[in-house]
Amino acid sequence: MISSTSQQRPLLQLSGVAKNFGSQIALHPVDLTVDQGDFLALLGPSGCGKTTLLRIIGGFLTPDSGRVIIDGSDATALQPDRRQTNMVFQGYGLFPHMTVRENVAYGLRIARYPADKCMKEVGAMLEMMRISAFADRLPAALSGGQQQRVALARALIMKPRVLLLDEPLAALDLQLRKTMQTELRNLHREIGGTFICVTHDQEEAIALANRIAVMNAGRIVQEGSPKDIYQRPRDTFVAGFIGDSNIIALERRSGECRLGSTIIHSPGPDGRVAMMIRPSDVQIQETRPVGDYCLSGQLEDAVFMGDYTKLIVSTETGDTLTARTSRNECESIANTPGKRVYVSWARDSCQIVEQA
Amino acid sequence: MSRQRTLSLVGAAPSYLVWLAFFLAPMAYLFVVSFWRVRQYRLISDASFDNYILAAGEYRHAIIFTIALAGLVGIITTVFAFALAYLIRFHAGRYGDLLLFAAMITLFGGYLVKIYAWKVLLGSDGVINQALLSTGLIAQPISWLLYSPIAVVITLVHFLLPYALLPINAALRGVGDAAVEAARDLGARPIRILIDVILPQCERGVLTAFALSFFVSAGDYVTPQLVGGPETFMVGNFIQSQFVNRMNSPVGAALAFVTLGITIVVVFLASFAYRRVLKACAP
Repeated sequence: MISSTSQQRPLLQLSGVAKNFGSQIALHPVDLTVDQGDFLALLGPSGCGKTTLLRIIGGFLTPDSGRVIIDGSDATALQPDRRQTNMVFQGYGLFPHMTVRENVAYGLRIARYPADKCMKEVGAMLEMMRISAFADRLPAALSGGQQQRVALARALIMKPRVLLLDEPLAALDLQLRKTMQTELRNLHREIGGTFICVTHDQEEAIALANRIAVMNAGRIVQEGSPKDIYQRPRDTFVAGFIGDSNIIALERRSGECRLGSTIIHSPGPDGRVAMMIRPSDVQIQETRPVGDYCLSGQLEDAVFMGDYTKLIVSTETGDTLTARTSRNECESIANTPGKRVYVSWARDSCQIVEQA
Repeated sequence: MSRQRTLSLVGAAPSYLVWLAFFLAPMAYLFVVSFWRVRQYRLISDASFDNYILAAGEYRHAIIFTIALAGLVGIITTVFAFALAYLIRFHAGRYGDLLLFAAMITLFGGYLVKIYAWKVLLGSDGVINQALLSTGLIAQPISWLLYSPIAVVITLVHFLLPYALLPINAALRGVGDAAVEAARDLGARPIRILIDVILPQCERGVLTAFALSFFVSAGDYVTPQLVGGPETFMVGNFIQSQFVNRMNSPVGAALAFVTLGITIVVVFLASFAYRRVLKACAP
């Protein structure tokens, strides 16, 4: 049976794309498909190969092997100017000697658009990105957020099939970054395009994208929806990289892991694994609770974080666990360091992940 | 005046003093002298324009020839320097610094060594003529290679190239990779990127390189003397002769100031033209 989804052709398809820089492996063979309308985040620490992958998609790097297929046709050997992709560069790469309007119009003028049509399209784009008021200023006279919008406008006016964004918000301060995240999301929804964004900020990836590919050491480690990746990380690397998490190394023997007196069932081969639990799923009590997984321990520290308080406990097993407690919850127990407490969590809130 | 300001003025005083002693005072003195005259080998203070009239009249041809030749040297040197700096910035990768160093190291050889080297290369029995003769391309040595304006241009370009390379190299380093790649991404071919993105951002560096090589060439008198032959006289030679042989520093000073004035105008025109030409070439 052929399902309707398998008939739908992915907009972008990478198969076995690999890249070395000299003896340095930047990218192991990578497979990736991106559908029309996706907002994909390539997420990973610096040096994980995410920018290399983005630059291969944009045509700025040629892969050593593998193929890049855009909209059904092989684009592997195509130069950036011949691809239906456009990029918003890290640091924007605005032309400093051109006004905002000239920057945005540049691509159309290179494509020899008639002057009146060019003017009209640029005007509409400036309007959409809300930068009409600065149209005749030079980039240096704009704030970071405004420059970001100019860079977006300059790329979007080319009507790319895929818009590539290289750390688009990295240069902005925290407040502005939050605002621009929302704007970028809205923009994606409005124009219904396909965006691929490189970022090292997991919060940004979760806030922006409908799909995340987590990368590490030149490989895509896990790919899926933000919720998927947050709730079911594949290994300790993903678990540690996405959101806060407690990771406790365990040994698996014949489908069981032992943590203190607790036994956690986990099918799989014997060997070193880890238990992952989010700090917000950990409870701390003064009396031993019944039912759930539980460890006794000593309160090491209580760190006030504003919205919540972070309690750090060293457990009887010699591990350190962090719990996130609401203000009220925290006040209910006297958090003097050294105090004897019980940490507990629900069976289904923890999971066994592979060691990265 | 506050104590703070007095202190900062005192602190800056040595700098002002150097500037005054080395630049302002000699220029001012020479400028005043250019309105004086000489009688029986003695300077007499005056306020006449005779020296300038003489410079604009009798020496007009020498000045025009000098400006033309220096302009040619300036343009060739700047174009060559830009080509080298472009190579260093965009194509040489990590060998860029090595190329720059190789160009700079020729400065240690000194000025006269270069001139004599060209004498050896360009002469009738020099390396170039010998090579051409042996290949049979010419039957007789090319006599106008040495002791001609061409020899002056070649020698000056070679001498000035490392100096012109520095400001252009600095300017090209200021051109961001992202802007160049963005232009490429938006469909611009390499020549368009050069005209639309790179050259406008290098205006200051390119014009500095041109001005430097143009000014030095316009004021040079050693190169024409050694490789220019008996008929190549640049205004520097006349200035030297006024100061040294004829002991007439007022005329020499007037000649120097006329040349300086014209060269400054030329550089201003060049900077004006630079923008206009790039604008005219825009898509």
